Amino acid sequence: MKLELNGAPGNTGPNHADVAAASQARVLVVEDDADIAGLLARELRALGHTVDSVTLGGDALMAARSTDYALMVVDLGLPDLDGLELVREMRRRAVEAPILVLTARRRVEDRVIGLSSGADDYLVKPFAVAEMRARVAALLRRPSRLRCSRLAIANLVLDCEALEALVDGGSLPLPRKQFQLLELLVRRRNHMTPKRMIEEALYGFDDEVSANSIEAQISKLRRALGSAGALATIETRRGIGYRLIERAAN
Amino acid sequence: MPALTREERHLLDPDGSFLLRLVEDRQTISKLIEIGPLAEIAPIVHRLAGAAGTFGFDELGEISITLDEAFVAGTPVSVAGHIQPLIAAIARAIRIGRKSG
Repeated sequence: MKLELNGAPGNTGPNHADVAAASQARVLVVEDDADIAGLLARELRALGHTVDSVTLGGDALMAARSTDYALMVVDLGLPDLDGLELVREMRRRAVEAPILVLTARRRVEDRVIGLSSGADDYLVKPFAVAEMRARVAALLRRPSRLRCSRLAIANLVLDCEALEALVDGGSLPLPRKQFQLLELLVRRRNHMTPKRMIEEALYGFDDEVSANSIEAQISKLRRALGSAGALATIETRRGIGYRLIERAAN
Repeated sequence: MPALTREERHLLDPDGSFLLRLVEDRQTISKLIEIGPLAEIAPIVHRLAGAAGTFGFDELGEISITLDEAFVAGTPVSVAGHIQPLIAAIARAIRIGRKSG
C-alpha cells in the first residue's frame, strides 16, 4: 500500500476532501473479502469515484492519516481489528468522513451499536448493489459535504454536476481524469497545487502512475484550454507544483 | 433481494472470480466432510452468507445464512442435514453462474 506523510504542502486552499466530495469522491474501502472488495471498487469507480482498498483495520488507520477521504466503507469483520473499534478509533482521531459500515450482523442491537460507535449508515450483508449505490450517494450528499457545483475562472466555467467544462459558454469536452485535474486546479486557483496532491486526487493506491503521468495530464489539459480559447492557463513551478491563473486576452 | 438477470449477474462478477471461488469452496468443503473438522467450514460459510446474495445467488445465500447462524449459536451441524444441502446449492450456483458468463 502506498502511504504518504500527513498534511498537504501549501494547504492554503480547500482541503482534499472538499475537492473530492463535489463530484468524484475519494473513497476508502476497508474489506477483507476480496470478492466484495472488488465489487465495491468496480461499482464506486463506475460512479466516477477514486477508490483505495485495504483489507486490514491498521492499514485503514494509516490511510486515513495521510489522506482526507470523502467517504469510507468499512466491513465490521476485519481480521486484525473489530470494525466497530476501527470506527471508534477513526472518530477519536477526528476523522470526519462519513462511514458506511458493512456487516453480516443482522440484529437490531448490532446496528444500534454500530451507529452509536460513530458510523453514519449501515448496510447488512448480503446487500443489493443498487442499495449500496444509493446509500453512498446519500452520504456524499449530506449538508457537510455539499459543495458549490459550479466553478468559474475568467471565461472558463466548470459544471461539476454535469461534469462539463465550458469556455465562453461552449462545451470543452475533457476525459474524466483531465476534468478532475481541472476541477482541482480551479478550486485551488491562485494557489500552487503540489504534484503529490494531484496524484492523490486522480489516482488510487492500486493505480499504476508513471513518473510523468501528471506532467502528461497537465500538458494535455494546457493544450485543450489553449485551443478552446480559455483565458486561464496552467503555470508550472519546477519542484513546487502547478497553478491555474487568469491570462490576458490576445 | 430482487432476482438478477443473466446480464446483471455477469456485470457483478465480470472476471468470474466469485464463481472460481465457489468452485474452490465446493472442493474444500467436500474435503472437510471427509477429513474434518467440520468447524473449519464455518469461515467459508460466513463469507458465503455475506456475499452470495450480493452476487445474485439468493438460494445459496439463504442456506449459508442459516448455517452461519447455526455455527454462531453453537447449534449442532450435520453433514446430511446442513452441509450436503450447502454443497448442492453451491453446485447449482456454479451452474447458473457459468450460464451467465
